[in-house]
Amino acid sequence: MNTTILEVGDVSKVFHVKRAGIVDDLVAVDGVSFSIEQGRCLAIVGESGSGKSTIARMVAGLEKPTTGTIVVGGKPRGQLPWPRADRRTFARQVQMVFQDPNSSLNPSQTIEDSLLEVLRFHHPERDGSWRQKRISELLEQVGLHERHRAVRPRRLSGGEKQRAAISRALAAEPQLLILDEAVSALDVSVQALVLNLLTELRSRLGLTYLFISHDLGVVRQVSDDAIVMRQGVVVERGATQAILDDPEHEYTRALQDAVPRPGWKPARRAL
Amino acid sequence: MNDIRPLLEIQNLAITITVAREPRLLVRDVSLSVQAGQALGVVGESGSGKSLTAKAVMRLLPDRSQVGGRVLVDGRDVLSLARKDLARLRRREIAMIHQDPRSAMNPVRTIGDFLSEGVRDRPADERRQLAVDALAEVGIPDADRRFAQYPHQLSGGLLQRVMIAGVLMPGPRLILADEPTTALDVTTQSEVMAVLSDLQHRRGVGMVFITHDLDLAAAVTDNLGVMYAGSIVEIGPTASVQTAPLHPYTVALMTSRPSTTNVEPLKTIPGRPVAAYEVGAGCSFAPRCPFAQALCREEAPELQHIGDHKVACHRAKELAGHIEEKLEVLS
Repeated sequence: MNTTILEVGDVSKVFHVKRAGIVDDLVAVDGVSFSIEQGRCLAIVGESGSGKSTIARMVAGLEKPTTGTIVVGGKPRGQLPWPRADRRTFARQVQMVFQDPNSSLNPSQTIEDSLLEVLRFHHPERDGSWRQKRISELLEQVGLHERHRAVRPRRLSGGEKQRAAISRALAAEPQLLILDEAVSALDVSVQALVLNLLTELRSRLGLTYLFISHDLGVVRQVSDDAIVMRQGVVVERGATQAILDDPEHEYTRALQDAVPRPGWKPARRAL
Repeated sequence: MNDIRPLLEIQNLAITITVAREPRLLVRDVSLSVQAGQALGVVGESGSGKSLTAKAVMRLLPDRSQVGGRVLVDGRDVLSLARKDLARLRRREIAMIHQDPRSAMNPVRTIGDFLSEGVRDRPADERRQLAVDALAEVGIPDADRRFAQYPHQLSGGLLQRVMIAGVLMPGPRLILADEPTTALDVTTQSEVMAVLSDLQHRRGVGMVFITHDLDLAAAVTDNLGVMYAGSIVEIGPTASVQTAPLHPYTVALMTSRPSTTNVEPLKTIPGRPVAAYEVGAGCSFAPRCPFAQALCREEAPELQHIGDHKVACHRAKELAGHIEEKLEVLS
């Protein structure tokens, strides 16, 4: 039973940027296609300007593709702005966890309230006791405690905030979870905990991830498949392990060579 | 030990900063030294006090901070330098490279202006030649074009090279590099680190390299110190700290980092990094340490010599070589 959760077909995004009074076309994403099956994790790897986050934002419905199609769970996502009737469905299908939990959690809302908001919106038919039970379940899943219910984000550490952001995304029971550099801002010891959590959640709940990252080590840790992007174009794709063990494209090799590891020395390249 | 006077010597540095009328101890009892021509890496997570330690060397801490201990640059105590001497020290003798070159440079001044700032006292044509040479040294050939450009017209990597060129022009003897490549892409990081490390060796200057990335620090340094909660928990020759770490925290830092060559569930430690003022009696790492015993919670361990490096852990000797196997996979 290989259900395709996400299908991105020949998607491009052109931004019109103004430079010195002249409007220029900036092609952020140039004809990218890929798909993710139920329960899999696909990583998009790239450096700044590669277009990886723009793809994530288009899949989530935060950005309008210039051309191409995005299909989630067999249902094409219409052109933005979505009709009112579809908005809730589309939003529930795909949830996103961002790099900086400070900007995705409301600072004046307790963790409980922030989860309640999502539960009320996406499960209006359920009653209060169901919601309370669900909150306990969500907190437990991401390793937070009951005492965190009444706490505001300010009182949480970076790792705890990111756990809260993950629990909020899971509250909608999305078909696809997008993680956009979701562990990049965390200290390495905390990052490891969240990476292990993401791996565990995926196998326990059968989640499907689109994982955006610049970090090859992190990508190797969490993803089954990967695509490597550079300047809006896919330069290499395949099973993560195969790509990292035996990169075919010179850019992938350069990325791999640049990662510090025991015995590594930085290499000076001519400009 | 070496009997040559170290270029930088920090003795029992303690930093307390008052936040909302509450004095907070952020760095405690940090001692380290750097010889001319050598590089010391200081590795730690957020709140470990690594950046504050570097700032103390330049006396760049906020007014509401109290600094104890001694910071000696070439034998002179920085903490008691007169204003004029301090200005000279900052301008000529120590070069500081920050994480984000964009916020460390004046956006309305050209690259040429920035480069000649440190050598204002020289004649104009000499200044220009020095700047051209400095740019060439960091691998930027087209100096004429760059001179007229503004910081926003350059990429992050290029700008950080300009920064390195600029701070090295007055001929400093010590470089303080505080996460100089953290904001850069990984391929650019590799290039900028190569430039920096190369210059440090060629000029024979000392360097304190601050980072959260242990492997990156290990690649460009001779000695390596690991900081946790405002103190150094392990310090010694880079190769031996990296290959035979003795402190459970150092080991956890390494096993927490996902590798690009194999996949195993990450062995890590629970909790989060803490600051010095949050530490109670006993070892600062004890609340997160899977090896903590009663003694660890009662008495703070001193740095002790084991082999060729120093480590602050009561159980270092008995655990040596067995820490990794005993760490757990947590989430």
